[in-house]
Amino acid sequence: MEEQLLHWLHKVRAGDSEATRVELNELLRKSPEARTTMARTLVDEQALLVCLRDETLLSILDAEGDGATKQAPKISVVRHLSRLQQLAVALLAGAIVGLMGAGVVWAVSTPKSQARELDVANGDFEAFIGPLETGFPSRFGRWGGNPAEVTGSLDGSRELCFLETGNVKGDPGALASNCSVFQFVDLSSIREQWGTTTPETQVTLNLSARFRRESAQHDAELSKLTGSCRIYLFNLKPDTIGERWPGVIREDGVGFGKNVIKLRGGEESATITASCLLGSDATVALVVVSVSNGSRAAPVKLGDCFVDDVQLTAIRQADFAVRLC
Amino acid sequence: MPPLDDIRFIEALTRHQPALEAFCHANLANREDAREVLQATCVKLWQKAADWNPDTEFLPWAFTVARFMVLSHYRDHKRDRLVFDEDVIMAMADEIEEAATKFDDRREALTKCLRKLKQRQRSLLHDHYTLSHSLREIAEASGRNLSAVKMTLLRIRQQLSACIEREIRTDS
Repeated sequence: MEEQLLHWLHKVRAGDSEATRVELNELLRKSPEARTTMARTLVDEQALLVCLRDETLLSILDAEGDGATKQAPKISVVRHLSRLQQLAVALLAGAIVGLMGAGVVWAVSTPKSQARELDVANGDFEAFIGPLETGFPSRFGRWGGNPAEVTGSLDGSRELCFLETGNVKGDPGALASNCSVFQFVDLSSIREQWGTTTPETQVTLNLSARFRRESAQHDAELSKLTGSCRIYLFNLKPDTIGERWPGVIREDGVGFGKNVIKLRGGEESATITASCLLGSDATVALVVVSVSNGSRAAPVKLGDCFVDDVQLTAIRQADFAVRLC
Repeated sequence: MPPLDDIRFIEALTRHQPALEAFCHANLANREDAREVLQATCVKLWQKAADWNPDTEFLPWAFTVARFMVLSHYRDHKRDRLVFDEDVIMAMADEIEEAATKFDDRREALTKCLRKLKQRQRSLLHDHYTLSHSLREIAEASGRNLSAVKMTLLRIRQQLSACIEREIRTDS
């Protein structure tokens, strides 16, 4: 009911459809439950507006407060310095001013770095609850890999739970060390937008993911569990990469980045980031998030390791027109 | 110094103004309209301040005045496209009053629920509700599909709604 009402409300507000407005009003006339839900939804919406507005104001005030408190100690420190110390400070300040002058020239002549988030489809795992497709994905924008499922926590948020290690392409009983899920990301839009084919343009891709492990009875048995995020770059079609996996990494990979974190039961979740340079010939990024038990063995049940907030960001470094060293 | 009743009136109006705004918003489902009606309601309440008995609750009396202002606004803007029809506003009166009366509790619960959201979810809420960016603008800026952004926002709203109910149940 709430989902339907929110959906209709959004359409009516966007001016998309008079028919929807009529339908919405008709439902509210007929259904007491719809009226109660709508009233509550709109009151909550107002509460949301107020909370967000308050947060924004607080963050502005905090920023101003920080600025004010940073000023105060400098005055008292200078007041208590001896003459010799004051001379030393003056010399140091002179050196700093000189360096800052050079820095200003450098900063003025240097364009700022730019960042752009690339679309990892369902990277926050909020789109659905249930198992991911098993097996290697064959097209852009789909998660696939070893057994894993999106689960909902008590607070309503969702995350991906790694279920079992395995070989993503081979025999289900084959030896393996990882439970991995993969997604292909098309790099054509970023290449068009930023013209990454020119050698002067340096673009870095950062893949980040947040891992956590719940406390479980078999913590001691699986003491070497690690979480990792990896990024591979290719100039191939996704289905070709899938068919030739994993040999294709060695034969045709044009970029790679990896980061690993040790997973201990009950610890706070932690975000790791893997980076790699976007070469001029890369057209496809393969992002991978995994949990590994550290050694090749028969499939191992996991179920207590989670990942969330998988994000891929492209960062274009400034082109240095003037360099001062 | 103003008379004691005036002070009590000002205190009550200041304290309950957020709930009154929520009441207006729930009737009109539009931020600008709600603000306009809230302003008119505050003026009317001030004019009628002598009618309020400070020994009685402020909100029920203020809601009655606000409802009158909502309907007046509706009739003035009948030709504009408003979300709800007049008879629907009348039909929802009790439900809206009940929900708006609990505004402070729901807002407190929501504050806790917002802390549980992921950074990306909070950013979407901030862009849409604080910066008033349309979902289309957000979709274009992030390179995402419009329907995916809509669906994400819908999910966050549902998640928050369920969380508020849980928090309120826990507190009670």
